[in-house]
Amino acid sequence: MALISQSAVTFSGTLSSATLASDLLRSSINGVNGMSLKTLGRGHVSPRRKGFNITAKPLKEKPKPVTLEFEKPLMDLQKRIIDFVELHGDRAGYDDPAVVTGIGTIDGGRFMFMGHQKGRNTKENIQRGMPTPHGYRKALRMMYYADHHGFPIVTFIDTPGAFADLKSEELGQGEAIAHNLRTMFGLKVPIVSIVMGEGGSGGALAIGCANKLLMLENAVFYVASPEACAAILWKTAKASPKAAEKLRITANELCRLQIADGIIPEPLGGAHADPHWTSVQIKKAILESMDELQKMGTEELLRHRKLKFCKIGGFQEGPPVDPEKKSQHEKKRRTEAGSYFRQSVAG
Amino acid sequence: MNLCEQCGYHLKMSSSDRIELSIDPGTWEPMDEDMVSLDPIEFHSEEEPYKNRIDSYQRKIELTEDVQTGIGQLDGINVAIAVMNFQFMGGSMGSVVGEKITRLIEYATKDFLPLIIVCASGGARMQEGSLSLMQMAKISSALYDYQSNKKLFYVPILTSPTTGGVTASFGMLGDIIIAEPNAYIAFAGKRVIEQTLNKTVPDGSQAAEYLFPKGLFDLIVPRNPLKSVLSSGYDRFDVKDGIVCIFRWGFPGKNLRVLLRFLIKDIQSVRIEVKEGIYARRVLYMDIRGQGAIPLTRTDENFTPREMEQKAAELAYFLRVPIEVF
Repeated sequence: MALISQSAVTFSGTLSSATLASDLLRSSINGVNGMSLKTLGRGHVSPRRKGFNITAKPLKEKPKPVTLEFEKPLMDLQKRIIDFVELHGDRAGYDDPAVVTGIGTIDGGRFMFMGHQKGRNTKENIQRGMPTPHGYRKALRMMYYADHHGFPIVTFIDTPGAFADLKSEELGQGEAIAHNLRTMFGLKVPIVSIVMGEGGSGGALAIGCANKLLMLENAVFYVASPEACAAILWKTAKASPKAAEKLRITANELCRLQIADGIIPEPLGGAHADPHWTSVQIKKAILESMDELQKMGTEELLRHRKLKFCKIGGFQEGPPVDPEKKSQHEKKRRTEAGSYFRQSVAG
Repeated sequence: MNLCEQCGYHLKMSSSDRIELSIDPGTWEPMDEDMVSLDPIEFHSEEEPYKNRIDSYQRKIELTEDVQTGIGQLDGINVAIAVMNFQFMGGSMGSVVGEKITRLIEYATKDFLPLIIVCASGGARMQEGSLSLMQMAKISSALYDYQSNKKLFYVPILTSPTTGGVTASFGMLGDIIIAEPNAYIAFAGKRVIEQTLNKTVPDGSQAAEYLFPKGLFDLIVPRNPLKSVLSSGYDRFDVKDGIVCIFRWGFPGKNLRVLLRFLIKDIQSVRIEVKEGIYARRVLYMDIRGQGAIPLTRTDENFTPREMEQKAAELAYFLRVPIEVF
């Protein structure tokens, strides 16, 4: 529970009870192979995750429909809480279906929404796919638009990463993401990001440089998917459960590292168990954080966003140096100083 | 220079060598040299704990981290420089890299220095998890202040390889982006694409030469003239010191580099010369006592009279000198 108290945003009493319930659940699952509940909701994400099969078992009994409503955050919210108009196109040749943007209202307040959109099944996945540079440029266009008209921005993150293919590379995937990152630090409107399912690498961050980064209780956020990490570090994707554990990808861990600012509770068994209840929680979270952010002036808002990211990191200055290494350093420094001296004499 | 003498292939180069090559000798002033990673997410693998790994690299390469930052002089101008070292853990970007580069950018913002970052990286550092990912945002936020608020000048130099998080943040945010010949530049590396799509990626499809016609960067510059290209094209008007520096990168040959330095108070006027006709020629000159007129615009640049007027007015206002029209 100490973890929760660190989070900047706290959402009512339901939070603690929900966490308790999930703790209970997790302990029962721990018996299987030590993976936490967090992976439970993720089991469907990529069926290729061999290591996760065991934990994903409870999901298999209720396969697709569970994620169905939930993986369409925007469409879903459209029905429930928001009056939503989708806006299309990056004005540069393509409308990327993997990123959905548009204007909507919650309780009379007008917001700019943008989010990653994964498919619900293979067919939709092929159609939607992963975001290409076009998607990020569409989002960028909407950010400028929102900034111009003063709409606060709400982003929904749910992607394993930006699309990795040669076409996207040629179109400047890196450049598109980089520009989004830089631009988001200059937007004069409040930004709240919510990690719905998974947020992977630069592809997630490209719409995630927010004043507040909230995560659903069972969502994950990572620098590289556990499989990729395992493949890089241990040269085999089989080590992915180990990598998932080491990488600290869960909402609780990220709150502790001050990357995430708050956790949105999910019902027992995951968000898909009761999409309606979850969307009400999301709505509540959005309104609460927006209220807080809208009290700030423009300058303060930009500063707040910058400082949120500036404080992240784990490093140490002036460390104790081994005596052996120290002597090496000293020696090197002395010779360097000597050579500079010589040069200055020669010059 | 780590070039193959036969084919001119650009081999990888350590950061210390590169610093030595790129700046005036004896002007390197390093910053934050004693910063080390704390293993913030307690990432241990059984065979080789993260801390031991860093330690072994520190002994081998004699650097504390894979980036060196500092201030150096480039033809007499102070420049903020960061150089990444691929030999140190694949040049991966962790908390320390993020913090050191952010501090360098903040320093450059404060002192109005031009910024050069030499990128060589495999991407974010796995061992620091999402913290490394957030360094992308951190550096971008510093760059926003540097580029958009203060309107200063930043050049990234992409060397082989520049991939992942580095490409998707400061690598691609330059005002002018320079790549080395044959550098491997990508967001998703070859292995990642092959794994996700189960397709083979042909060799050379992520080389600088292949990506250049796609418009991803401004220049491909070989290593030998790199320093002069970097220092070319600066017009620096320093009000504080009252000095004007003009650098131009000329035709290869004797007058390869043109360097002019003079005092602001010597500038007598800004002169516009207009020759109308079929081959209209409008040139902007600066009249300097004892040196005659120095052309500021390129001969093949053809501005409209209005644009020319605006530029001249801006410059004259800044220097507080009269405008002459011929």
